[in-house]
Amino acid sequence: MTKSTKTILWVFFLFVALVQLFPLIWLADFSFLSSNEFYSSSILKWPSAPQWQNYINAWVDGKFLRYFINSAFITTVTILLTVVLSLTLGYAFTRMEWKFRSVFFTIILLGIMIPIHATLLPNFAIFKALGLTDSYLGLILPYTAVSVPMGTFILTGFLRSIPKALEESAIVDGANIYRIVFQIIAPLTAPALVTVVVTTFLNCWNEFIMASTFLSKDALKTLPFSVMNFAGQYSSDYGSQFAVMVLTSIPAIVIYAIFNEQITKGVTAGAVKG
Amino acid sequence: MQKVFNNKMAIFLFVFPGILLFSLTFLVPIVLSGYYSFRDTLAPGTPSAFIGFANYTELLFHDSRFWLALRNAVLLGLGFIFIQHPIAIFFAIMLDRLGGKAEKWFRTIFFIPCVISVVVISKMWLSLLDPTFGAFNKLLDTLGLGFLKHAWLGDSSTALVTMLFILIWAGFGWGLLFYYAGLKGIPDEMYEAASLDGASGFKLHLRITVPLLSPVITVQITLAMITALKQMETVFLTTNGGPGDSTQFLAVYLYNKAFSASQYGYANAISILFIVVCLLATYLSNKLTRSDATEF
Amino acid sequence: MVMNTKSTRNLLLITALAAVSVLSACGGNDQNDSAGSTNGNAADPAAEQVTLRVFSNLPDRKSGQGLAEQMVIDNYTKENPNVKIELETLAEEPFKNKLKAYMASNEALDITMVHGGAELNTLVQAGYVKELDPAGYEGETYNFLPGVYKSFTFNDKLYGLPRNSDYEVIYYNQKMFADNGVNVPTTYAELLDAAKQFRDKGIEPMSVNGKDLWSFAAFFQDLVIRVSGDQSLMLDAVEQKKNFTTDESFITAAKLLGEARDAKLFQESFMTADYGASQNLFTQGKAAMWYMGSWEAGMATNESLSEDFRNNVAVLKFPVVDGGKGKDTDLLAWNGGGYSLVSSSKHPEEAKKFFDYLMRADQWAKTVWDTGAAVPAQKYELTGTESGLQKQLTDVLTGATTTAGSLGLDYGTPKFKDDGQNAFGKFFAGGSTPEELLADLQKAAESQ
Repeated sequence: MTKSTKTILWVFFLFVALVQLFPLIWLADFSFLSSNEFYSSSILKWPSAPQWQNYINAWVDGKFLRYFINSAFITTVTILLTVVLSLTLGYAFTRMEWKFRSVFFTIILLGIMIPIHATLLPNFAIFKALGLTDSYLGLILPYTAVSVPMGTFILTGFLRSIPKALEESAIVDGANIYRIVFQIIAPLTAPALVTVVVTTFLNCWNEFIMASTFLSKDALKTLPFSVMNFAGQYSSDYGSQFAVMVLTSIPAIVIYAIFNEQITKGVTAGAVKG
Repeated sequence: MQKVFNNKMAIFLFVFPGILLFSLTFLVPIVLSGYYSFRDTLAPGTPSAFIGFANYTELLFHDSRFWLALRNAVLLGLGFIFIQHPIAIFFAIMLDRLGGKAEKWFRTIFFIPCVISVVVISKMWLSLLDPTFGAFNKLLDTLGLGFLKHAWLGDSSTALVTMLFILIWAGFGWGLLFYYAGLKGIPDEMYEAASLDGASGFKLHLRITVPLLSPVITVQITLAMITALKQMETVFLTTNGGPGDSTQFLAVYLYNKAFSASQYGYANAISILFIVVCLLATYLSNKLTRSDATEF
Repeated sequence: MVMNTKSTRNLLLITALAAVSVLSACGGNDQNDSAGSTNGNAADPAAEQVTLRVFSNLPDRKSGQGLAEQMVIDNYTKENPNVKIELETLAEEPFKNKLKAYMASNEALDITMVHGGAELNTLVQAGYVKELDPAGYEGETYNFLPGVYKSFTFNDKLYGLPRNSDYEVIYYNQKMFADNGVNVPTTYAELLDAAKQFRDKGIEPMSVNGKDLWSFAAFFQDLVIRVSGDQSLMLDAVEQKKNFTTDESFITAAKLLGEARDAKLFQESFMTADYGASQNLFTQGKAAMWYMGSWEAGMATNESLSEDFRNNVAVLKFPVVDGGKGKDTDLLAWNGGGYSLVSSSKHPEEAKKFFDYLMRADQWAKTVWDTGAAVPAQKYELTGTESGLQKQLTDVLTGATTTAGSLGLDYGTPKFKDDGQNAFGKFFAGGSTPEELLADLQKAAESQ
C-alpha cells in the first residue's frame, strides 16, 4: 500500500472514530452543565462553571457505590458459573459418550434463539415460588442460564479443534476425568473462555429488563437500574442524569481498556477455530 | 480409556446443573406460557377461562400490530445484513491493510459503544436526537442542512430507520471484531496467489476475502436475524414501539400486552409464536446461507 | 365499574364545592388539627418491631408530592418508633409495570399507590388489594369530598382511597405570552392562533407528554366536552351506549384535534417526550404552555426551578370551542391516584394503622396542600400562604359547574386503554385521519 493511500485511510478512520465517539463526548460535556444551559444553541459547550454538583448528586442520590458493588458481585459470580458450566457441558457434548448427547446439545443451543422476554413473566412466577426473587441468586441464576447456551456453543466449537492426544496420554498416566477437564482442558481452551467471559460480562453488566422485574430491594439493585431510578428522581435535572450515565459507563470502559487485547485474541482464536 | 469417557457419574455432574438451570429458565416457563396462551386472563391469579385457539387465531388473522412488529423485525434484520455487515467487512479489510499501532487504536475505539449499557445508549440517543436541545439537529444547522431538522424518533416515517442507525452505532464494533478475527485466519499465500492471477483491490477482496469469510458471515447473518427479532431494550426505552407502532417489535408488544393492557393470555400466545418465529428464522437462515455442510 | 348518571355526578360536585367554599371562607384561622390527640400508641415501648413495605410512584422525595408523602411517613415513624417503613419508588411507567409483576406473584407489599379505574380494576380482580369499609372514613378525621370514591369503587365495594382531586388544565408562562405579544387564549381558535404566533417566533407553543399517550386522550375528551357540553358523552361511548363514529360531537371534536396537530400546537419532540421531558421543556421556559393535571401545583414552589419561571407560571382553563355547547367551567376532573391496602400484607393490622394515618385530613391532605404539591380530595383549609398557582387551581375547581368523574381512557378495560392510546398514537404520528381515529376508538370500545 502506498504512503498516500495509507494517509487517506488514516484520515478516514480518524473521521469515523470521531463520529463514533461524538455522542459519548457530548454526553460527558453536557454532564457538567446546569439544566438551563442545555438549551443553548452550541453543539458542545465549555461549561461556564462546571457543575460538580451533578456528579455529587449522581454519586450520592444515585447510590453509585452500592449499585456498583452489586453489579460487580452479580457479574463476577455469573461469569464464574457460566465458565464452569459451559466448560463441563461443552466437554460432555464433545468428548464424553452417552445416549442423549445430541438431543441435549440441541436443546441447550435452542437457548441462543429463545428470547428471554418471551419467558420473563412465567420466569418471575417460578423464581418467586422458589423464593429466589429479591436475592442476588435471583439474578445470578437467570443470567447464568441465559449465558450458558452461547458459552457452550463457543466451547464445543473450540474443543472439537483440539486433538484428543493430550487427554489420551493423561488417561494413560492415570488422571481421572475431573483432572482432565479442569487441569488439562481448561488451560487449553483459555482463548475461548476469554470470549465467554467477555460476552457474559457485557450481557450481565448492562442487563436491564430482568433486573428491573426481579429485584425490588434497593440494596440489591444494579447499575443500569440506577440510571432509570435516578432519571425518575431527577426528572427535571438533565445535568445530573447525564452525570449518572457517564459514571455508569466508566467501569465498563475501563475494564474493556484493560482486557482489550485478550478480547481480540480470544475472538480471533474462537473465530478461526470455531 | 472408554471407561473414563463413559463415566456416568461425571456425565451427570457435568450435564445436570446446566440442564436444570436451563429447564428452570426456559423450558418450564415455555410450558407455562403455553398453558396461559389458551386462556383468557388479566394476569396470573385472576379468574381465567379456557378459550382454545382463540388467542392464536386473533393474533394470526386479526391483529395487524403483530404482523407490523414482525415486519419491523425483518426490516431491521435486513438493515443489519445489508448495511451494518458490509460496512463491518469493509472496515475490517481496511483495518487489516492499515496495520501497525493505528490498527489497534481504531479497533479499540470502534468497539467502545459495545460496552456501554443499553439504558445509557437509549437515554443518550433520545437526548441527542431531541429536537429542542439535542446535538444532532444543531449539527445539521451548523452544516447548513437545517432543512433536514426533524424529530427523528418522533416521526413514524423516520423512527425505524433512526432505530436501525442507533443499533448499528451500538453494535458495529462486534461485527467488525468478528470479521477482523476471520480475516486474520486467511493465510497471506491466498492473496499472493490471487495477485499473480492479476486480481487486485476490490476484485481481489471480492474473489478471495469474502468467500473465505463465508463461515463467519453465515454465523453473523444468523445472529443478526436473531438480534433483530429479539430487539427489545433499546426500543422499549426510547420509543416504546411508537410513534403509532412504527417501531413496534414482538418483545415490546408482548411486554406491553402483558403489563399495560392486562391481556396476559394473549401476551403468552405472542410469546409462543415469538419463540416459533425465532426458531424458524434460525433454521431458515441456516438453510439459506449455508451451501456446504459446515457445522453450527 | 360503578356508574353514576350525569345528574348525580353534578349533584355530588355541587356539594363538594360547597364544602370547599365554606372552608375557604374560614381562612387560615382554624389551625387546631387533631394530631396531638390521636397518636395513641406513640409511646408504647413494648410494641413489636414491624417493617411495612410501601410502593409508590413518586421517586422525587425532595419536591412536590414525593416530599409530601415522605413527610407523612416521617411523621408516622416518629410517632411510632416500632414501625419502620421500607419504601420502594419508581417513576410512573416502570411503576405500573412493576405493580403488575407484584400482582402476578402476589408480592407481600403492605400499601401501594394505585391508579383508579382500569388499573385498579385489574388489581381488584386479582384479589391483590383489600376491600375498605367506607364507614371507617366518614367524618372529620378524613373529610373526603363527596363523590371522590368513584374510580376506586367496583361492584359497590371500595378498594382504595384517592389522594388528590385531579383535573386537566393548561399551565402557561405569563412572561412568554407578554414578551411575545401573544394574547392568552380563551377560545380554541385563539389557542391555535397563539400556537401559530409562537411557532413563527421559533418557540414551542405547548408541551405534552406524547410518549405516554394518555394526555392526547384527555385533550380529546376536553374537546368533546367543549363541543357537546355533555360530560357523560365520552364515558357513554366507552360503554358503547353512544357511538364514536356517528355522533356529531365526536366528529367535530376529532376534526378540532386534527387542527391542533396540523397547527403544530405541540412541541416538535412531542411523540418521544415522556413526562419529565415535557415538564422540563415548560419549566425551562422553552415552551409557552404545558397540558397537564392539577397535581403539578408544586412547580410554583419548587426551589430547583428558576425564580423567573416560578413567578410567571399560571393556569388556564381549557378554552371554549366556537359554536360548542360546553362552557369553560365544564371541568375534566376525576380522582386518579390513591392508595390501597394489599391483601397479602404480612402485617395487616399495622398496615391498616399506617394507611389510616396517611389518609387523615391532617396528614396527606394537609401536607400536600401546605407544600403546594397538589389539590387534595379531602376538605382542606386555605392557610393564606398559598402560591398564586395554588389559588388559581382552587379557583378552577371551585368555579367548575360540571365534572367528568373519570378519564374516558380509564373508564373501560385495560385493553380498551391500550387500544385507545394506540389509536391516538397513530393519529398524532401523522398516520390517520379524524374519521380513522374515531373508527379505531369505536373498535377499541367494541372489542374490550
